[in-house]
Amino acid sequence: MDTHYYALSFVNTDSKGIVADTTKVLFDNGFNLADSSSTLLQGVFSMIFIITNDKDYKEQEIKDMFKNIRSHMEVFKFDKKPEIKEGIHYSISVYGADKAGIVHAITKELAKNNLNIIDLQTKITGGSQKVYIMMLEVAADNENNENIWQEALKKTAKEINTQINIKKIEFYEL
Amino acid sequence: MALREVLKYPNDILKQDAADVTELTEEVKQIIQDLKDTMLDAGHSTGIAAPQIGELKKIITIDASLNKKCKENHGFMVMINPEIIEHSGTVTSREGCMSVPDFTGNVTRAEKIVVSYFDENMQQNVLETNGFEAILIQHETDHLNGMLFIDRVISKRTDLFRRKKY
Repeated sequence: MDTHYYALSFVNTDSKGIVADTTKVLFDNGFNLADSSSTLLQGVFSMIFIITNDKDYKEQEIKDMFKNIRSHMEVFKFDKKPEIKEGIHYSISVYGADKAGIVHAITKELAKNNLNIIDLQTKITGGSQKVYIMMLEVAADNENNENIWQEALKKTAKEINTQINIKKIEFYEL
Repeated sequence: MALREVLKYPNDILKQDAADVTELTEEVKQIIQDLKDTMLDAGHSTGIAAPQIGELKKIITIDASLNKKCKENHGFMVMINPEIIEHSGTVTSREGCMSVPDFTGNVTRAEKIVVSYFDENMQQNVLETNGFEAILIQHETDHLNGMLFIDRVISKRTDLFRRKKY
Protein backbone atom coordinates (compact mmCIF):
# COMPACT_ATOMS: atom_id res chain seq x y z
CA MET A 1 0.00 0.00 0.00
CA ASP A 2 1.36 3.43 -0.97
CA THR A 3 1.93 6.12 1.62
CA HIS A 4 0.87 9.59 0.53
CA TYR A 5 2.53 12.70 1.95
CA TYR A 6 0.88 16.07 2.52
CA ALA A 7 2.04 19.35 4.06
CA LEU A 8 -0.51 21.42 5.96
CA SER A 9 0.03 24.96 7.18
CA PHE A 10 -2.19 26.92 9.54
CA VAL A 11 -1.92 30.55 10.60
CA ASN A 12 -4.20 32.19 13.12
CA THR A 13 -4.34 34.72 15.92
CA ASP A 14 -7.03 33.07 18.05
CA SER A 15 -4.92 30.11 19.10
CA LYS A 16 -6.58 28.69 22.22
CA GLY A 17 -7.41 25.03 21.53
CA ILE A 18 -6.29 25.20 17.90
CA VAL A 19 -3.74 22.37 18.19
CA ALA A 20 -6.24 20.07 19.91
CA ASP A 21 -8.95 20.88 17.34
CA THR A 22 -6.62 20.45 14.37
CA THR A 23 -5.06 17.19 15.50
CA LYS A 24 -8.54 15.79 16.27
CA VAL A 25 -9.42 16.21 12.59
CA LEU A 26 -6.15 14.50 11.63
CA PHE A 27 -6.75 11.65 14.07
CA ASP A 28 -10.41 11.17 13.08
CA ASN A 29 -9.40 10.92 9.41
CA GLY A 30 -6.61 8.40 9.96
CA PHE A 31 -3.65 10.67 9.30
CA ASN A 32 -0.24 10.06 10.84
CA LEU A 33 1.75 13.06 11.97
CA ALA A 34 5.22 12.52 10.49
CA ASP A 35 6.70 15.86 11.47
CA SER A 36 5.48 19.18 12.79
CA SER A 37 6.61 22.61 13.88
CA SER A 38 4.42 25.18 15.61
CA THR A 39 5.37 28.50 17.08
CA LEU A 40 4.01 31.87 18.09
CA LEU A 41 5.40 34.65 15.89
CA GLN A 42 4.51 38.15 17.13
CA GLY A 43 1.16 36.87 18.45
CA VAL A 44 0.42 34.84 15.32
CA PHE A 45 0.32 31.12 15.92
CA SER A 46 1.60 29.13 12.94
CA MET A 47 1.66 25.39 12.52
CA ILE A 48 3.14 23.21 9.81
CA PHE A 49 2.39 19.50 9.72
CA ILE A 50 3.79 16.82 7.44
CA ILE A 51 1.15 14.11 7.47
CA THR A 52 0.75 10.73 5.83
CA ASN A 53 -2.17 8.56 4.86
CA ASP A 54 -2.63 5.39 2.85
CA LYS A 55 -5.54 7.08 1.10
CA ASP A 56 -4.86 9.25 -1.91
CA TYR A 57 -6.70 12.52 -1.17
CA LYS A 58 -7.01 15.59 -3.35
CA GLU A 59 -5.80 18.81 -1.73
CA GLN A 60 -9.33 20.24 -1.67
CA GLU A 61 -10.68 17.11 0.07
CA ILE A 62 -8.22 17.67 2.92
CA LYS A 63 -9.06 21.37 3.05
CA ASP A 64 -12.73 20.50 3.43
CA MET A 65 -11.97 18.35 6.49
CA PHE A 66 -10.81 21.50 8.29
CA LYS A 67 -13.68 23.79 7.30
CA ASN A 68 -14.73 24.19 10.94
CA ILE A 69 -11.23 25.13 12.13
CA ARG A 70 -10.91 28.91 12.49
CA SER A 71 -7.59 29.36 10.78
CA HIS A 72 -6.05 30.30 7.46
CA MET A 73 -4.97 27.02 5.96
CA GLU A 74 -3.08 25.65 2.96
CA VAL A 75 -2.53 22.07 1.76
CA PHE A 76 0.29 20.82 -0.39
CA LYS A 77 0.38 17.28 -1.73
CA PHE A 78 3.75 15.66 -2.48
CA ASP A 79 4.24 13.48 -5.56
CA LYS A 80 6.72 11.35 -3.63
CA LYS A 81 8.19 11.04 -0.14
CA PRO A 82 9.98 14.31 0.69
CA GLU A 83 13.73 13.76 0.95
CA ILE A 84 15.99 14.87 3.75
CA LYS A 85 19.25 16.37 2.49
CA GLU A 86 22.44 14.75 3.67
CA GLY A 87 25.55 16.80 4.26
CA ILE A 88 27.81 18.60 6.69
CA HIS A 89 25.89 20.91 9.01
CA TYR A 90 26.97 24.34 10.25
CA SER A 91 25.33 26.72 12.70
CA ILE A 92 25.51 30.39 11.81
CA SER A 93 24.50 33.38 13.89
CA VAL A 94 24.35 36.90 12.52
CA TYR A 95 23.54 39.99 14.55
CA GLY A 96 23.73 43.73 14.32
CA ALA A 97 21.77 46.97 14.49
CA ASP A 98 18.35 46.38 12.98
CA LYS A 99 18.02 47.39 9.36
CA ALA A 100 16.34 46.10 6.22
CA GLY A 101 18.09 43.50 4.06
CA ILE A 102 20.10 41.44 6.58
CA VAL A 103 18.30 38.16 5.87
CA HIS A 104 18.39 38.70 2.12
CA ALA A 105 22.09 39.57 2.04
CA ILE A 106 23.12 36.51 4.03
CA THR A 107 20.77 34.01 2.41
CA LYS A 108 21.70 35.23 -1.08
CA GLU A 109 25.35 34.41 -0.31
CA LEU A 110 24.33 31.00 1.05
CA ALA A 111 22.35 30.24 -2.11
CA LYS A 112 25.24 31.35 -4.29
CA ASN A 113 27.42 28.76 -2.53
CA ASN A 114 24.86 25.94 -2.81
CA LEU A 115 24.21 25.74 0.93
CA ASN A 116 20.82 24.49 2.05
CA ILE A 117 19.06 26.22 4.92
CA ILE A 118 17.80 23.61 7.41
CA ASP A 119 16.49 26.06 10.00
CA LEU A 120 16.24 29.83 10.20
CA GLN A 121 15.00 31.97 13.06
CA THR A 122 15.10 35.71 13.51
CA LYS A 123 14.48 37.93 16.50
CA ILE A 124 14.54 41.64 17.16
CA THR A 125 15.46 42.75 20.65
CA GLY A 126 13.43 45.55 22.22
CA GLY A 127 14.72 48.81 23.64
CA SER A 128 15.68 52.05 21.97
CA GLN A 129 18.59 50.49 20.01
CA LYS A 130 17.02 47.52 18.26
CA VAL A 131 19.31 44.58 17.52
CA TYR A 132 18.48 42.04 14.83
CA ILE A 133 19.55 38.46 15.50
CA MET A 134 19.40 35.66 12.95
CA MET A 135 20.24 32.05 13.70
CA LEU A 136 20.58 29.49 10.94
CA GLU A 137 21.55 25.91 10.46
CA VAL A 138 22.79 25.13 6.96
CA ALA A 139 23.93 21.98 5.20
CA ALA A 140 26.76 21.75 2.68
CA ASP A 141 27.31 18.75 0.39
CA ASN A 142 30.84 18.37 1.74
CA GLU A 143 33.64 20.24 3.52
CA ASN A 144 35.63 20.93 0.33
CA ASN A 145 34.87 24.63 -0.11
CA GLU A 146 34.17 25.55 3.48
CA ASN A 147 36.93 28.16 3.71
CA ILE A 148 35.80 29.83 0.49
CA TRP A 149 32.12 30.18 1.39
CA GLN A 150 32.86 31.08 5.00
CA GLU A 151 35.16 33.91 3.94
CA ALA A 152 32.57 35.12 1.42
CA LEU A 153 29.89 35.06 4.11
CA LYS A 154 32.10 36.97 6.57
CA LYS A 155 32.76 39.59 3.88
CA THR A 156 29.03 39.96 3.23
CA ALA A 157 28.32 40.26 6.97
CA LYS A 158 30.96 42.99 7.27
CA GLU A 159 29.49 44.90 4.31
CA ILE A 160 26.11 45.10 6.05
CA ASN A 161 27.80 45.95 9.35
CA THR A 162 26.83 42.79 11.23
CA GLN A 163 28.74 40.25 13.30
CA ILE A 164 28.79 36.63 12.15
CA ASN A 165 29.76 33.36 13.82
CA ILE A 166 30.04 30.13 11.87
CA LYS A 167 30.53 26.82 13.62
CA LYS A 168 30.64 23.31 12.21
CA ILE A 169 28.28 21.02 14.09
CA GLU A 170 30.25 18.03 15.31
CA PHE A 171 28.28 14.80 15.21
CA TYR A 172 29.20 12.07 17.66
CA GLU A 173 28.02 8.48 17.52
CA LEU A 174 28.06 7.42 21.16
CA MET B 1 32.24 -13.65 22.57
CA ALA B 2 28.60 -12.83 23.10
CA LEU B 3 26.75 -10.23 21.15
CA ARG B 4 23.74 -8.83 22.95
CA GLU B 5 20.70 -7.05 21.62
CA VAL B 6 20.94 -3.28 22.08
CA LEU B 7 17.70 -2.14 23.71
CA LYS B 8 15.93 0.75 22.08
CA TYR B 9 13.69 3.37 23.60
CA PRO B 10 10.79 3.05 24.60
CA ASN B 11 12.11 -0.06 26.39
CA ASP B 12 11.50 0.76 30.05
CA ILE B 13 14.89 -0.60 31.23
CA LEU B 14 16.58 2.40 29.60
CA LYS B 15 14.72 4.74 31.97
CA GLN B 16 15.66 2.93 35.18
CA ASP B 17 18.55 3.50 37.60
CA ALA B 18 21.33 0.91 37.48
CA ALA B 19 22.71 -0.63 40.70
CA ASP B 20 26.25 -0.24 42.04
CA VAL B 21 28.59 -3.16 41.43
CA THR B 22 30.00 -4.37 44.76
CA GLU B 23 32.22 -7.26 43.69
CA LEU B 24 33.80 -8.67 40.57
CA THR B 25 31.65 -11.75 40.08
CA GLU B 26 31.65 -14.03 37.03
CA GLU B 27 28.38 -12.37 36.03
CA VAL B 28 30.01 -8.91 36.10
CA LYS B 29 32.98 -10.20 34.06
CA GLN B 30 30.59 -11.63 31.48
CA ILE B 31 28.67 -8.35 31.25
CA ILE B 32 31.96 -6.50 30.65
CA GLN B 33 32.88 -8.92 27.86
CA ASP B 34 29.40 -8.66 26.31
CA LEU B 35 29.54 -4.86 26.42
CA LYS B 36 32.89 -4.85 24.66
CA ASP B 37 31.77 -7.35 22.01
CA THR B 38 28.47 -5.59 21.38
CA MET B 39 30.08 -2.14 21.20
CA LEU B 40 32.71 -3.24 18.69
CA ASP B 41 30.23 -5.22 16.62
CA ALA B 42 28.09 -2.11 16.14
CA GLY B 43 30.92 -0.66 14.05
CA HIS B 44 30.04 3.00 14.56
CA SER B 45 29.75 2.98 18.35
CA THR B 46 32.36 4.45 20.70
CA GLY B 47 30.75 3.44 23.99
CA ILE B 48 27.99 1.41 25.60
CA ALA B 49 26.38 1.17 29.03
CA ALA B 50 25.12 -2.01 30.70
CA PRO B 51 21.43 -0.94 30.73
CA GLN B 52 21.59 -0.78 26.93
CA ILE B 53 22.00 -4.57 26.90
CA GLY B 54 19.38 -5.03 29.61
CA GLU B 55 21.73 -5.21 32.62
CA LEU B 56 20.89 -2.71 35.35
CA LYS B 57 24.44 -2.51 36.68
CA LYS B 58 26.74 0.49 36.75
CA ILE B 59 29.20 -0.57 34.08
CA ILE B 60 30.22 1.20 30.89
CA THR B 61 32.81 0.46 28.25
CA ILE B 62 34.23 3.20 26.06
CA ASP B 63 36.85 3.62 23.37
CA ALA B 64 37.28 7.23 22.27
CA SER B 65 40.01 6.17 19.81
CA LEU B 66 37.24 4.71 17.60
CA ASN B 67 36.35 8.32 16.73
CA LYS B 68 39.04 9.17 14.18
CA LYS B 69 38.77 12.89 14.98
CA CYS B 70 39.57 12.29 18.66
CA LYS B 71 43.35 12.65 18.84
CA GLU B 72 43.86 12.61 22.59
CA ASN B 73 42.21 9.72 24.42
CA HIS B 74 42.81 6.80 26.75
CA GLY B 75 41.68 4.07 24.34
CA PHE B 76 39.49 1.21 25.49
CA MET B 77 38.34 1.49 29.09
CA VAL B 78 35.99 -0.33 31.40
CA MET B 79 34.42 1.87 34.06
CA ILE B 80 32.54 0.33 36.96
CA ASN B 81 30.48 2.63 39.21
CA PRO B 82 31.70 5.75 37.37
CA GLU B 83 31.00 9.04 39.07
CA ILE B 84 31.75 12.47 37.69
CA ILE B 85 33.25 14.31 40.61
CA GLU B 86 34.32 17.54 38.90
CA HIS B 87 33.34 19.29 35.72
CA SER B 88 34.05 22.59 34.03
CA GLY B 89 33.28 24.45 30.81
CA THR B 90 30.55 23.67 28.35
CA VAL B 91 30.53 22.31 24.83
CA THR B 92 27.62 21.57 22.52
CA SER B 93 27.69 18.73 20.03
CA ARG B 94 25.16 16.63 18.17
CA GLU B 95 24.81 13.19 19.67
CA GLY B 96 23.50 9.94 18.30
CA CYS B 97 22.80 6.82 20.36
CA MET B 98 22.22 3.17 19.49
CA SER B 99 19.24 3.15 21.87
CA VAL B 100 17.57 6.13 20.17
CA PRO B 101 18.30 5.24 16.55
CA ASP B 102 15.80 7.53 14.83
CA PHE B 103 17.03 10.85 16.23
CA THR B 104 20.11 12.92 16.86
CA GLY B 105 20.20 15.89 19.22
CA ASN B 106 22.21 18.92 20.23
CA VAL B 107 23.37 18.41 23.79
CA THR B 108 25.43 20.75 25.96
CA ARG B 109 27.80 18.97 28.33
CA ALA B 110 30.85 19.75 30.44
CA GLU B 111 33.98 20.25 28.35
CA LYS B 112 36.29 18.85 31.00
CA ILE B 113 35.54 16.25 33.67
CA VAL B 114 37.16 14.30 36.45
CA VAL B 115 35.63 10.85 36.85
CA SER B 116 36.23 8.31 39.59
CA TYR B 117 35.59 4.67 38.73
CA PHE B 118 36.68 1.09 39.31
CA ASP B 119 38.44 -0.67 36.46
CA GLU B 120 37.85 -4.25 35.29
CA ASN B 121 39.99 -5.50 38.21
CA MET B 122 37.94 -3.44 40.71
CA GLN B 123 40.88 -1.10 41.24
CA GLN B 124 39.78 2.45 42.00
CA ASN B 125 40.96 5.10 39.54
CA VAL B 126 40.48 8.75 38.83
CA LEU B 127 40.64 10.07 35.28
CA GLU B 128 40.77 13.65 34.07
CA THR B 129 39.76 14.12 30.47
CA ASN B 130 38.23 16.60 28.08
CA GLY B 131 36.75 16.99 24.63
CA PHE B 132 35.14 14.02 22.93
CA GLU B 133 36.20 11.50 25.58
CA ALA B 134 34.57 13.64 28.30
CA ILE B 135 31.35 13.88 26.27
CA LEU B 136 31.41 10.12 25.71
CA ILE B 137 31.79 9.35 29.43
CA GLN B 138 28.97 11.78 30.33
CA HIS B 139 26.69 10.23 27.70
CA GLU B 140 27.35 6.68 28.91
CA THR B 141 27.10 7.47 32.64
CA ASP B 142 23.75 9.13 31.92
CA HIS B 143 22.51 5.68 30.82
CA LEU B 144 23.29 4.39 34.34
CA ASN B 145 20.85 6.94 35.74
CA GLY B 146 18.05 6.30 33.26
CA MET B 147 18.92 9.40 31.25
CA LEU B 148 18.98 9.53 27.46
CA PHE B 149 20.36 12.36 25.37
CA ILE B 150 16.80 13.36 24.50
CA ASP B 151 16.31 14.20 28.20
CA ARG B 152 19.09 16.77 27.87
CA VAL B 153 17.90 18.45 24.69
CA ILE B 154 16.89 21.98 25.62
CA SER B 155 14.64 22.86 22.72
CA LYS B 156 12.77 20.06 20.99
CA ARG B 157 12.17 22.43 18.08
CA THR B 158 15.75 23.42 17.36
CA ASP B 159 17.83 20.70 18.99
CA LEU B 160 16.21 17.40 18.07
CA PHE B 161 16.67 15.99 14.58
CA ARG B 162 15.27 13.04 12.73
CA ARG B 163 18.22 10.89 11.77
CA LYS B 164 19.02 10.81 8.08
CA LYS B 165 20.40 7.29 8.06
CA TYR B 166 21.69 4.76 10.51
